[in-house]
Amino acid sequence: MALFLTAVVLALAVIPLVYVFDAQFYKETRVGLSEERSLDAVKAVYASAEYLGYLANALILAALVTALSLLVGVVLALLVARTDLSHKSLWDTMITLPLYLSPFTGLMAWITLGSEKTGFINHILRKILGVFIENPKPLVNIWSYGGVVFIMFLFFCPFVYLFTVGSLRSMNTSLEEAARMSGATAITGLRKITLPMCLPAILASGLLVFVLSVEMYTVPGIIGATVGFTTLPWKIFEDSTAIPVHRAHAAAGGCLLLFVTIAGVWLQNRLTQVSSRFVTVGGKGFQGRPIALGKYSWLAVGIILLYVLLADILPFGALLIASFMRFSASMITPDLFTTKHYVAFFTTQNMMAALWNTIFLAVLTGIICVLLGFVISLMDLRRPSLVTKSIAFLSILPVAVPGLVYGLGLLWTYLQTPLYGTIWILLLAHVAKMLPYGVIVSRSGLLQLHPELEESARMCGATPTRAIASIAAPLVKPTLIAILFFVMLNSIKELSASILLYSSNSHILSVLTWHYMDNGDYQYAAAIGIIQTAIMIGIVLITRMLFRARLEAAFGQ
Amino acid sequence: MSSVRLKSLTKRFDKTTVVDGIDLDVSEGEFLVLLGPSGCGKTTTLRCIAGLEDVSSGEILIGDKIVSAPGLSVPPERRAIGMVFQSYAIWPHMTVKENIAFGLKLKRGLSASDIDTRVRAGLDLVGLSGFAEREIHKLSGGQQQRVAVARAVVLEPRVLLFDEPLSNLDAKLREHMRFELRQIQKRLGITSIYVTHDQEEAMVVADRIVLMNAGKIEQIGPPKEIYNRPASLFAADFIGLTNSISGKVVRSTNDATLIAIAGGYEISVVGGGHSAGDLVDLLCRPEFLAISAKPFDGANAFSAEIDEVIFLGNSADVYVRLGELRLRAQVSPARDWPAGTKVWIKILPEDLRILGKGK
Amino acid sequence: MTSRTAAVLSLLALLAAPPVAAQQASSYTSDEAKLYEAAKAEGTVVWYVGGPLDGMNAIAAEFQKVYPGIKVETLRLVGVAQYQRFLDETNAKKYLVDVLQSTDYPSMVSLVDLGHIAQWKLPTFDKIPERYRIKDYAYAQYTSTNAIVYNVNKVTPEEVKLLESGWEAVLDPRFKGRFSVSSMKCGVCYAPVHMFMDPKFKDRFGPEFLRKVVAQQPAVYAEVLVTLDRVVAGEQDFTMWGWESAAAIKQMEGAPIRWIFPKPTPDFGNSWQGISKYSTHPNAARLFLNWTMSEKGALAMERIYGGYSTLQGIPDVRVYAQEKWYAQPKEIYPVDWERWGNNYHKDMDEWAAIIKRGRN
Repeated sequence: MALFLTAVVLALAVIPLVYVFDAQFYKETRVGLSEERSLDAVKAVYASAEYLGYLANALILAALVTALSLLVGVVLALLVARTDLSHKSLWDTMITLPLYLSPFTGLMAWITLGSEKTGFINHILRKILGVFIENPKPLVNIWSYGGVVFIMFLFFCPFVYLFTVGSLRSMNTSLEEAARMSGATAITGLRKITLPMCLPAILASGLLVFVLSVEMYTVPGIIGATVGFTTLPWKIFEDSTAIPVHRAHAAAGGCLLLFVTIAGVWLQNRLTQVSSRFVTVGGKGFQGRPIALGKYSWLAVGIILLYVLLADILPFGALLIASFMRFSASMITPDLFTTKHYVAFFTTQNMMAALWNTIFLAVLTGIICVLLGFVISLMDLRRPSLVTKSIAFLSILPVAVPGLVYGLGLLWTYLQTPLYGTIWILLLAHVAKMLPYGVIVSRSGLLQLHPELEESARMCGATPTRAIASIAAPLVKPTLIAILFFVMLNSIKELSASILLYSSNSHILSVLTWHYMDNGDYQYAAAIGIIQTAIMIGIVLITRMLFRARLEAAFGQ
Repeated sequence: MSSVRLKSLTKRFDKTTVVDGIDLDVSEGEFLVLLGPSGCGKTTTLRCIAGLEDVSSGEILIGDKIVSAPGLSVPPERRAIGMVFQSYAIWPHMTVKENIAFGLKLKRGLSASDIDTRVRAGLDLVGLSGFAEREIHKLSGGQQQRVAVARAVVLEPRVLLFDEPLSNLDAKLREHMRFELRQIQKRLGITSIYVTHDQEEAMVVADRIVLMNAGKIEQIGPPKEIYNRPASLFAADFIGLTNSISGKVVRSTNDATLIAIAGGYEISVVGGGHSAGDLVDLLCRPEFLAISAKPFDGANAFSAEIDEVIFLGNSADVYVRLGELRLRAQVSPARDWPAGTKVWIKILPEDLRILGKGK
Repeated sequence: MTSRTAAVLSLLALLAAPPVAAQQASSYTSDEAKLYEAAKAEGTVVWYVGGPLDGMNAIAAEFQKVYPGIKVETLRLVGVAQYQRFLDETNAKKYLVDVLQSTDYPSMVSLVDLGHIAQWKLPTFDKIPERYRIKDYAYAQYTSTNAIVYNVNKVTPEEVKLLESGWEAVLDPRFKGRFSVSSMKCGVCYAPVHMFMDPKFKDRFGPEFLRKVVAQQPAVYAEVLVTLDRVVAGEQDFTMWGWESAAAIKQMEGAPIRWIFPKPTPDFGNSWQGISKYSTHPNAARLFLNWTMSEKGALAMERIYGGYSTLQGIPDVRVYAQEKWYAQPKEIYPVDWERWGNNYHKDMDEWAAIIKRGRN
């Protein structure tokens, strides 16, 4: 097994990343790399005020996004998990809905909504306010630094929510009750007991959000250029796509992000180790009495509704409206209405193939990442050795490198093999980029499992495989299903590595959407985005039925 | 039923030696308790016997077959050992019956009705008849522990291991379960090794106690012997309460020794073979220290002063001052003396033990 | 045989398959019927496109209508991504593409120089002006002309007239804060900078002119097509960084935009097409290239996609060109490819720096 996993990690992570690492040390030509070795790029990236400034911009932005996501995500989680609010499962669904939107499509939705002069929001507000005052000023402008933070926050807040709500639900609330008994108010109980107990989960989700925000290039890039700031991932995007290409610079920038993230992953590992001392789930969780909101329940509902409005209703609504428009305008009017984008979707060459390829990749990537992630974490935790620990660590690395850079490494690795030019290389890319979720999340699930549960099966005569199949696997099933959901959704959204690797017989939806965006056909892209979301919801519903589990509940086992 | 033998068993994690060359013979049908403070290596020893840990050096034999040696380890599932874990390790996704039947289903040649019969017998044995279909999370802690016991014994193992099985139960239940476990073991006659840090529990269940400290065996013996004849200060301290008094041998014959202690007192002790000038520790259990308002006759009677009395209902802990020494006595029925009261104390020479510590 | 061994064997078989030998360039017929026969036998042509996917797919569909039995597979790879991918594939002896269509002229020149493009003299060779050809290897499909694209609801006819007079008109105080530019690095994005930086225009334009443009506080977009989209939506009144073929697609949809060509108007050949020397469907590739550069192909392209064909002597069938408001460029500025190649990086960096300074 260890041998097989070593091969997997070599094939998915180590070899492609070594290619990337190596690419830093070449002299650049106008369109690529020459044969000649050079340290120019390394010097320019690791030791220049310019690139380090870009890195600083990315880190500051990620810190702001993480802080905001943590604040809102934790508050939402507390409201849903620990108070007597009604309609909890509805809120669960609504709060996690942004996961079904890819950042690119979401950005597009918010450009339609929040542009200074023509955004839907300003347009409507202007109409309303125009009744009272003359020439009202636009209220929101998404083309601003705050706009970038806001859009990114909307995408990442559900991560914090899911982790925190899961931890809150599996927590033994008797400790909180003990605090109440010793005279603490409900709020003090939450602040002094409940939140510190959830801290490992909260911090882990914070780190995940931080790492993903540092790596994101779309939103900060498109808006950042207008506002006048550049982050490292966007610079990497420019370096690798605009002529003249700076491929060594891009590789060096990718490695720089890799190092930042390795520090983050290390920290997260430390944190989950700490968390194992906190969380002991012996199979039964005591659910304490929820906090009564009383006269404040309208405030709680108000907070949640505001979030739902901003994160779900407005962007999905805007996207839906845009998908029926012939071109961009500040409001849809009858003469702009068209269904041709949807008609085109079902008639355009390659589109149906792309649809099936997308679903095929999502399902297969999901299954593989669940199985591999579970086995890798299990080996790491139950058979700790240099080999198993290295496998677990190395398998996480591809998440750290921007897809554009990692994709190139994968391309160079597999160019000579029959996999190149087929859908299988996309599968490799997707598995590599999503496996880290599989490893990290199943690790946290297994940490909550007492090893004695498997050991007692061994003592009853079960072989190690049998003990895992009959005991460990069923007990972490909710976690595994959560991984399945996550990976499938992210596979459907994956763009940056796929765009380098797709071929004429392996079209996928995310790449096609990008092409339409790249051509300025934002309305068609919106329609594909809506269809993409529909597929995600469909897949999640089918998985739910198959496994009788819910994405939200999967975290709160 | 099988005997278990450990031959200079050693277990190291990285560079720390947790079990340090233990030799031990457990005879067939015996109930052996590994007792010691946490971190003494008792659980690790048990896990080595179970096959859940590989040994660093030494051997483990079950019957006359080597099951563990460096580079050799019969996997736990092939050792025919039953084990009851500290955390119960009951599988929460299965019912009581499914838990107990799990191992039976893995055995070849058992029909469904055989399994059923044995599950029922197991449940009867632990007093859980009628709980077969119960969900695990609807059981109390004690019931869960019984399921764990039933699950281990239905497989008719050659050896039964207990890893602090009662430490998660409340005091009353713990006391009750001790007897029950002991009875089940006696009835089945399975060779059992039981790990605990609770000396009282060890006294109740053990045929023999193995007292461990820092990876080594301090003393092996039946409970009574360990209590009455502790081989070390550690043994005396860990099992029961003790007063230890430093002293120096004044003279020693074959059957009696005279020892000088602080304050110029001289104490005579039964047993000899010491040389004059040896530094020794004198051990005295509190219950052997007699206190009276009236003077005592005979050897080892001294005048002392009450320091503190703690009332315990049927008895009292009494602390007395003898010169600069503070000694603990146990008085039953309880008596109440105000601090500072002049009293007489006495220890019979045969109730004292001498531990030499060299010159 | 178990399925596992079967899988391994088929993998080995794939590895052992010899690469398809590249055929000699000289052996292709110029007789259309015979070429079609040979192409039909090949059945497929793989086309790496740089232009918009929809338009290119429509052109491919048109070809398949004319020549049934030959499937055109399009794969969109833009600019340098296409160049790199093609080189990577070629170096690995993966011959997947038949016809390349690049939006980046220097890339195509480089491929011709490296000997990766097959020599192929089109039947319409003589009708294509020299600056739209790379010897007899590669050909520009249409021309790109930079234009000021404006929203008809936001810019008055009088203002349009003013803008038409020349690029300097954007400096008029009335346009302050009303238009946009792009900082993106791409061919059509560079063309205006290329002209403004021409030593010939040192006194008329030059960096000083660009500084004045930035002083007008235009909106700056990283993505040049967002620039256009924001004019369509009415967020910006007009963009300096527009070009005809992109604006035409939106205008044909009914978007409230039009465009004018200030004097002088940068103009360059775009969508450079050539046949891979290692094409595995060489006859289909030649048939396809012949057709796209034939009169019929050019007219189809103009009608469907709205690009302005490089082919001389054919009628202008672009829909919008027939409308009353439309006026052809009055003074063409042909780009200087040599200076383009040498100064692209330097000029774009300077443009970015001017934007940055103008902001602070």
